[in-house]
Amino acid sequence: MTHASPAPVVRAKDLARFYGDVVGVCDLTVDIPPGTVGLLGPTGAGKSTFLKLLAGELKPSRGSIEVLGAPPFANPAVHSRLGFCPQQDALWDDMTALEFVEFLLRLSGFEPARARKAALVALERVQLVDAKDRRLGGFSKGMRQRARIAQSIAHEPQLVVLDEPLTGLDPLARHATLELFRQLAAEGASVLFSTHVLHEVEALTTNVVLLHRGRLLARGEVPAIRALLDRHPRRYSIQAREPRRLARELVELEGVEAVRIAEGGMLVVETRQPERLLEALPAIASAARAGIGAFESRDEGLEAVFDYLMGGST
Amino acid sequence: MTTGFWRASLLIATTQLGLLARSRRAWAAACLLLLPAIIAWLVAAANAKVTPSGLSTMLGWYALLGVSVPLASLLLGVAVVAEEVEDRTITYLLLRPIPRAALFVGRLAPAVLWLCACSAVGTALLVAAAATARGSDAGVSDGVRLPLLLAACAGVATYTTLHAALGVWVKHAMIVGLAYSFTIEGFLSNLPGRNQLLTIQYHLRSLVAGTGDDAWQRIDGFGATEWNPLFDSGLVLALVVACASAAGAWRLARRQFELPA
Repeated sequence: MTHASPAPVVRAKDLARFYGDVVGVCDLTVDIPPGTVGLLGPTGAGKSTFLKLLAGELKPSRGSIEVLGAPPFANPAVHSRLGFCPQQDALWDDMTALEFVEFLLRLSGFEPARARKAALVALERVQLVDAKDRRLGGFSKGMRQRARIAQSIAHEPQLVVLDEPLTGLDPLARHATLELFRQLAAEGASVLFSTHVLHEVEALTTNVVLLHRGRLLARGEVPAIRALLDRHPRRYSIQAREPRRLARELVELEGVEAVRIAEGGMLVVETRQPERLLEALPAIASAARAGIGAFESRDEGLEAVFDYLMGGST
Repeated sequence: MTTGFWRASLLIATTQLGLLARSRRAWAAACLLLLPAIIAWLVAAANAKVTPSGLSTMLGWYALLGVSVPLASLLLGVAVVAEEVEDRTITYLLLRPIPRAALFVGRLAPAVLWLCACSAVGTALLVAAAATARGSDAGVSDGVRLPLLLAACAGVATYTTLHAALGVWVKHAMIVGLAYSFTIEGFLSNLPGRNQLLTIQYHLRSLVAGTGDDAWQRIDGFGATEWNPLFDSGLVLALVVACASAAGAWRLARRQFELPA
């Protein structure tokens, strides 16, 4: 017996969107399955453009996009089943949080009593119910972000699309928001959210779409993406009292591809087996009496890794 | 679940009316419409020879209809949709299951309503201030008061709709609107000949001519101008409102907005 895979919630084919000469997204063909999916990419990768096309805020310059089986631009049938949390920090500052969510629910076709009830539930879910009667203009950045999330989930949409939803949230609110996304997924909603931080995606889902410079870099499970990333030699900086002596020892270590001494005597090590380096370094440093002062990864920025992958894929 | 055109328009309009009352732009437009009344009061106090009907017709004709009505309408009209775009809040409205035309109508109606109310107050105050003038004549009659009120309300409705449509079609609607107000409405409407027919100002003045009494004859060139029949001018203004509404709603239904993050 074979199982048909569920119909994708988003289907983009040769999708392109240009802003004059600037590429937003280009030749993007991707099917996004139901469930929780992270849209990952460095700043300027085209994540927001893709999400705006997906939400129906923008029209494609070329190609096509279908959301829940229909083109999203100016399509009320799609918008009734879609919740969108934009990245821009824009709200009607004179409204209270409750008025804001309630008004948008009324526009979604909710009767007044039901709209009030659903708005309170949504504000409760983002922990804003205590501030429901305060004007949005007086909210902190994190609270404003949560108000935006509340309006996107209040009408219980089939697909929730969130553009950088964790930006501006403090660690507690971030944790609570990730938990909210888990609950939404458990309730059967599909959640698609963008971020440029890999571990935020990993905390929530194994399913990711990687964008870079407007193009699809990879789509699939996080372990596969991780494996892809592992093809990239990792770089570490080591500050040592005796860098030359340490370099001589490290170059013999399995997986180490290059060792050089940078300006200021800093040792830069490139390895394809970072775990092996981290495991062996204390013993090597001790045996060589190298005296390690500082140790840090030079590949923190996703941009560097993505640049490498793009270079490797072309 | 989707929301119908009229229901969505009404929801947006009622919410917008509440926001409008707290908007600085709306109060600036209100001040513009009250300006002729303040001028009337100052002139009445300063000049002993000026008469109530003379003052009210002059300021009603030139200051209220000629300047305040077009500029207040421009100020609020271009913001009908453009304000949401500038504030980047239009996303919330565009991505709801409503016809986009409802967004245009729902935002336009409160602006027109607000300006009509301000015009009514401005006209009443203008007439009241003019009535304090010390020159002797028959006073301000209904033949001055009512035509002015009618033309001011028709003016704000027509100009606001036109500028609202402009705000959806062009990027720098305020600049284009100002250019239109000064060159077409300000200049062309005061040139002799049939070119006047192309201006809203001419049709507003025709409403005054069609319903007003002899007090209006003191306006320069009033008697020498061939005014449009009342019905024809009313029809022209209604057509402008209908066409501008349709054009604005049509464009909004198709337009995409590139909002910065």
